[in-house]
Amino acid sequence: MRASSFDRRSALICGATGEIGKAVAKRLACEGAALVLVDADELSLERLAKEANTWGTAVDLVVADVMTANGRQRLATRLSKLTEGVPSVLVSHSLIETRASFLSVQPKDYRCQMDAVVEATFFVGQQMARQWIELDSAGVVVHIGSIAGTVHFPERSAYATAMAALQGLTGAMAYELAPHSIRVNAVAPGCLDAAGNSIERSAVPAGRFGSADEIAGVVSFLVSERSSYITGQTITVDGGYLLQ
Amino acid sequence: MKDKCLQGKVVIITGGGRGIGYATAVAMSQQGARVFVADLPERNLPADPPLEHFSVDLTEPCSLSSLMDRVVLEAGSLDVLVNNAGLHLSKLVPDVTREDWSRLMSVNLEAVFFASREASSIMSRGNGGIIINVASTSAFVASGGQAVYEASKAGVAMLTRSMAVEMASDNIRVNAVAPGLIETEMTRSLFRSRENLMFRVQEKVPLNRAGTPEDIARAVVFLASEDASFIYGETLVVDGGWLLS
Repeated sequence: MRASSFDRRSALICGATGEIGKAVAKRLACEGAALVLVDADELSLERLAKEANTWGTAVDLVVADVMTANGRQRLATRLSKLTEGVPSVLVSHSLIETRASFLSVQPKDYRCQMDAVVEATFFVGQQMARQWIELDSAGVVVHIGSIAGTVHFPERSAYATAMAALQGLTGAMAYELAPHSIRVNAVAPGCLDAAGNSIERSAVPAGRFGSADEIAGVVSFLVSERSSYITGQTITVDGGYLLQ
Repeated sequence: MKDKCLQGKVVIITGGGRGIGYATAVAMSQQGARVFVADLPERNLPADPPLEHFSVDLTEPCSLSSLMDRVVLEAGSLDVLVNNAGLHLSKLVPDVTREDWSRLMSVNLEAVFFASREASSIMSRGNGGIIINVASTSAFVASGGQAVYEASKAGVAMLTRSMAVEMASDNIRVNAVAPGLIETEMTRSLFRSRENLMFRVQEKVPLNRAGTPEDIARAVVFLASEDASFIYGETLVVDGGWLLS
């Protein structure tokens, strides 16, 4: 069932060079998806492409900073020239996490955080949805958020604001796009193995941190037909951290 | 990657004889699980796929625990418990009798608790396991005339969280699904006709279709699989977007 879930489909992954982006790309490639990997960081993207070329699927790279209108225009131009056609899956992930106390956040840092998470996700999503509707084809969107939209950590006020906004956007997009057979969901990871994790392992009921592959497993479910009646949801993937 | 994500797993599904429970039993069996269906004696299960049917009375505490003992004896372990059995009740608050309340709560909430208690004691002696409860979008929205049902399902959602926290250290993952408007025998009789059900769907469901038992079954299979290995205490809403508006 899983092996063929991606026949003739391709997935657009924004923020592909982060740990989660990479794991998602690899998982979807294993399931047969062609990949369009997008990132602002050209060097990291090329490094990822070397790895991705061993996954046995078609890989297109787009160097574009989707926080900006110019970057999104560049992405649109590239997408219009793809031989694989318009990807039917969009996974949006931002790699920016502002760390500063609420009292010291500068307007430019705040704007950067909001642009990276909210503006990029909003308008890349809009761009893709317009194309799907024009082509009369179904599409599926997954946002990678964070439990920081719900529970709070020190020096993450800008990040928390953006992540909470992302939850609202997920629901609103799902609601408006459902009549066009476009599903929109989010995954809110927490407590992953990563440098700079501010959570104690003992505070996670699972007794361990999670991995990027465990996020990719949930994304795989959300982009597949296995979740065809699920839309507008944000699925928490945190080993139970939020429960306590 | 394994083709069948529940290969060799031993599963008990309460109320697995029809509707969502039966679809879940079939889906889990197709994913390689050995499935024991705990349901009323009168349910007639098709021969294919092969499911093992045990008749239980969920309001009788010994009934399910003796089934679990038999399953462990026969299959060697218990890996997954799906608490699916449930009753519905449409009555305005002044009309609800104590008997109504007790009967519904005993199946929808008490049986979930005690079945999970028994299963967790078996699972914690082995390699852990997975418990999946079937809640409902009624845990989150009030429709009028369904206070007892809604309270029971809200109880299931909270019980899912409470048990997830307690049982995580025994390597037991507890999660739930919350089905929205699903077309089953139970909902067709609740809405009195398919037309009424479809009218409500068009009014309320952004994806503009009723859910199928298979939609829920696929969500349960996901929660029981390795893909959900870091999800704890979640109630996964499967409602075509109903709760969004």
